[in-house]
Amino acid sequence: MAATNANSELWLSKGALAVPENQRIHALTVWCDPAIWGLALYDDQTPWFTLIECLQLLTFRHRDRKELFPGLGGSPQASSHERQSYRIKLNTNLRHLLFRDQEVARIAARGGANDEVRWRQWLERTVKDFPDLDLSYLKAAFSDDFAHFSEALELLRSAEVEQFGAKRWTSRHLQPVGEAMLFPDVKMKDDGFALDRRFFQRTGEILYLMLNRSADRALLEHLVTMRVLNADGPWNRIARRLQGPDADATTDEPKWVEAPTIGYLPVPHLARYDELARDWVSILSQSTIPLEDALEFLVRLSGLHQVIYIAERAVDVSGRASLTPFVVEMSGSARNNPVQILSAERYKAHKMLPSQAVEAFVQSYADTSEWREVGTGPMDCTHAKRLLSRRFAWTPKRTAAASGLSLPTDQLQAMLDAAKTRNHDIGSTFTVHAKKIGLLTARQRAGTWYSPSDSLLEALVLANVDGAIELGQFLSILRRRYHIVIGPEEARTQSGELPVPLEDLRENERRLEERLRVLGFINRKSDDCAFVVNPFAGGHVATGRLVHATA
Amino acid sequence: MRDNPLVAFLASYGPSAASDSLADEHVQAAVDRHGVRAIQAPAPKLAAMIEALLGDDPCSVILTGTAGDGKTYHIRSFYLGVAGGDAKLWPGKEGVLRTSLRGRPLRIIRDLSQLTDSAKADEIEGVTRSLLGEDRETLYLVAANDGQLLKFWRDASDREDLNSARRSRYEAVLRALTDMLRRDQEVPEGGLSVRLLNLSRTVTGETLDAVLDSILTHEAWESGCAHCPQATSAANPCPIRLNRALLMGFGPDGSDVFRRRLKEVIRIAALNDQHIPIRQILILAVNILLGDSKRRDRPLLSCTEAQKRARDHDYARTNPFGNALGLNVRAERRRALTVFSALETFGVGSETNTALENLLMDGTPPGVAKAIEARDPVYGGGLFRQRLKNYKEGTDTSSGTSGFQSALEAQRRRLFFLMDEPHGGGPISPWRLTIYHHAGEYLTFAEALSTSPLKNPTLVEPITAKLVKGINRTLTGMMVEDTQRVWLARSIGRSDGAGGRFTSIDPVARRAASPQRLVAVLDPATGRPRLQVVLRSPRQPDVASAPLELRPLLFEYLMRVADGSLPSSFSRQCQQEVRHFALAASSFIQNHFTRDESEALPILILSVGRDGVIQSRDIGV
Repeated sequence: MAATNANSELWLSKGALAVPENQRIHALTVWCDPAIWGLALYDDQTPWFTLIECLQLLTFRHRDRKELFPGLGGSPQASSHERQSYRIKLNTNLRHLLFRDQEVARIAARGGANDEVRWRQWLERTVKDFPDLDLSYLKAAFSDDFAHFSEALELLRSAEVEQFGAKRWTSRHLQPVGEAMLFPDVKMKDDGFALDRRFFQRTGEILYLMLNRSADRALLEHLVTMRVLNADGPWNRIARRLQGPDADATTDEPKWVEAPTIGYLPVPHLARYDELARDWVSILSQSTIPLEDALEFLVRLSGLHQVIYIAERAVDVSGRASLTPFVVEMSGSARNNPVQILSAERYKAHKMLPSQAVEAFVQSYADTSEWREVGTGPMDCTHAKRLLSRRFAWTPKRTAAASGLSLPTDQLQAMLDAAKTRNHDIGSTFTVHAKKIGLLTARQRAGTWYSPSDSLLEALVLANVDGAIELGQFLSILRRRYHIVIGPEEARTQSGELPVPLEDLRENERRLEERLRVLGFINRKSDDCAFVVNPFAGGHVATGRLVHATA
Repeated sequence: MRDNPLVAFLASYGPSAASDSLADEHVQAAVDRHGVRAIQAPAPKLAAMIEALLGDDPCSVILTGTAGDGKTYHIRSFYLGVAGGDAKLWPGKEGVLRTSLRGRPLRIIRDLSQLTDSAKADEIEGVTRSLLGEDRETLYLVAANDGQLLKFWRDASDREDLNSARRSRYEAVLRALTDMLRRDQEVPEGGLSVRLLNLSRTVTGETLDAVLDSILTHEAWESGCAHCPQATSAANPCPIRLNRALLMGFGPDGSDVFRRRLKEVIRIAALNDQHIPIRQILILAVNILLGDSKRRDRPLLSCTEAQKRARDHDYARTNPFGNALGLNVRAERRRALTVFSALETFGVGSETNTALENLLMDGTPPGVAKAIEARDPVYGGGLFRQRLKNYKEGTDTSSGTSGFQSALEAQRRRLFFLMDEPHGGGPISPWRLTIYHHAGEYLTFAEALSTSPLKNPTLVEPITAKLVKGINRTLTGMMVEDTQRVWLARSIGRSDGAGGRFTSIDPVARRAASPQRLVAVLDPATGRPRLQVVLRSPRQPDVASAPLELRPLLFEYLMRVADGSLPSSFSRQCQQEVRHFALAASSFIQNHFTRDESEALPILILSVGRDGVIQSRDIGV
């Protein structure tokens, strides 16, 4: 699209905020998915990478003493989209040691040599291979103990997330349990590094924006600061020691990359943002949960809410009544299982929702007088092309017929087709992320259906159970907050019908209980009553005398 | 010759589908039909009811429990026997029975689930007022399943407007009752005025004995069998009377090991949260006496059938040790009965070891073999001697359910119920015939912890040491030998199977001068041993971490892991429980000791030395 076009002319979905002028959208195929869901929910940005990107933004604001969650921009009467920029520390020394160096482990494993020799061998080799790096500080930092240094590295490597799939060394990341453990997703260039957004395509910024617009943002500000940003646990301290001078690099040094803008999230307020933030508050409020575990729960839950957001937004934009619930099957097996069949059908239907929403979105423009007044003459075709470029950032491929431009309706159709068939579309994000967070299971021959992983179940219990609640209550919360249906009570439609036989749904519920029991979350009291318990409910002052103490 | 009416009467308590609905009311009808005295079921909570309702400061009583726990029976006993109620008014057509107690109005709801919605709506406010202490005159006696009970208040609060005063009162009651149920508390810690008596927590050895005695010592055993020739036959004894004698312990050495073992099994099941209601105990007892596997559609003996079995010497059909596991009952029916599905999980019949097989096949050691044979020759050698001979000679041609393997399994079951437990464990232990190899030690451990101060520290010490070893091995994933202190090891990734390679917390010792220690205690509410980290500080009450509840299954897991094996079938759940305990204990210790946020925690890398002891190296700053 022509660079002169103004973002303010982009076609918006109903109720959406105007796109900030400085938002860079030139790399888009067509302004459909981003207009509906935001810029961007990207399939290849896995849930951990989403959280890491979100924490980069928060870490910067914290360091700069900015309010973490100031809410929407503009005035309360006329709110506008947030405009933010942030900087990320390159953290090159640590990243090199963890993901590019091949020598430390090799030299450490070599027997016989003393520390002095090992350090010398390793430093000489490093200077030769990577003349830009100065890692001489490490010898003193580890009191000359090379084995110690090697052990620390190995330990920190065990904290890598999303280890599978070969990635360049500048796209590998650690669990972000401290500021020193964050890296930007960059490309090496002649004179340094550039934020090329190969994997980090602003899905984490969208996550930030959702939290920033939630009702709980003040409480969240406090909790994120206390539990996450002020955290200086043992991991972070090892990382800092390995970083050397990078640890204290100030933002005016050339050790940072700049993200001049952040993503676009169309709708100012949604119940989904509030539900997302509630889960963050719930997990971070439980001081008994170690930060490493808490972050993993946040990853799963944030991904879950974004997946639900995709479906809910699609339903809204396409003008449907409501989202049909996620029927979640508990055995993970497809054999003779009506619940599995229903679940697979639901998934297929959900997967169709985005393209229906895109159609409705394009139709909403086609219904405007601006478009309806376009005729069919040659001038009109040119005009139509200009309109689609302004409203949808859409440029047809050059291979169009030599006879000139096609008719406006055909141009619109071609754009719609392109929107629905592009790679990395929102439907792909829905599927990939639902699998990544453990909501969706795919089996060869058996198909794809909703069947949760143990880790997702764990996250759901810990976010929703304060102490203990009855199993039936838990199921009803899952239905209310996440559209998740497991047992007969929740599966019943408003007219009282069941989509599959009662006995199968009961069996599904029984399997859930069994799985929760194996995870240590069930306390069954009788045939009539079972509690879902949160084992992290803290220690309490012992009441009365201990019956006996042995030592 | 007239049949003993007691046999037909007992059969009405048996494992048939009809006995499912054998509630208190129907027993009366059976008594009238057969003309024998009713079985005297115990009412273990009656005393507590009397104390609550007639004490100095009376309060309402809620009885909960699984179906078949005897809720209605308790209430009837109270109404007729204590409150002086009119038998003609019992049970009454309405769901609510109005009477008075020492001048106070008493409203009895004998089954909350039987009330109509409108009746529930009428009662909820009154009960709530009584429980909250707003009405100190009216008393309530309510029976309900626990789920029903909570639903009663939840529905009530859902009916009220958000933020209304009524709604918040109902929610307060709901919260308090939920908490009491979950923690097995009878007396509220504050707020409510009520006793919550859970009959599912009260099946003790005494209750069981009372039920068994009521059946086994019924006077109709004497009068009803007086003229039966089978009753006195030594060569062809009546199987019913024979089974009764075994269960009573009438054998030559007077051993009551069969009954004792049953009590232990039921206790183990209960401590594993598999509660067995009294009605199921009755089914079990009746099935042991009358069970018969000749015809699946008639699982219980009549007198005529019993005489036939005796005449034909067909005792394989009436084996009380198979009956105890419900093997005479159709599989789907058996699984539907709590008692048999609970007993099935023990694996009696299929579990064994070499020493016990030698005992069965070769009669070694002879002393043990002789003692058991003396207790019961009929179901032992009588059924097995010839089969074994044929098998050893290679002339046994049977197969399937009548095959030698089945006969051997029957002998294992008999062995389990008849052999004594040796002192100090060892391979010749009845528990080696179950998946709970260490159940004997478990019960001893629980028993030893029940006295304070410890009467028998030498019993507790080695078991606690082994548990600690099991925990250390579970958390570190290494074959470590530490028995004196627990290393709360963890890994940064949460992937399954990754052993804990580091910790930030010094190990918690069992005995040390340090303020935090790992202790084993008995939970008074459940009778279950637990491990917890306890913090002692001067002039303050002890503070304890969330405990590791030592259910028999978890105990078994830790003991086996300490012995060097990994029981795959139940590992995952147990690992999770140990992991949760370790995380909760870590945070507990950190929250109490790290006063200053900036205080640097060590990073202790764990490794195992040649002697199996865990070594740590601090690589923190």
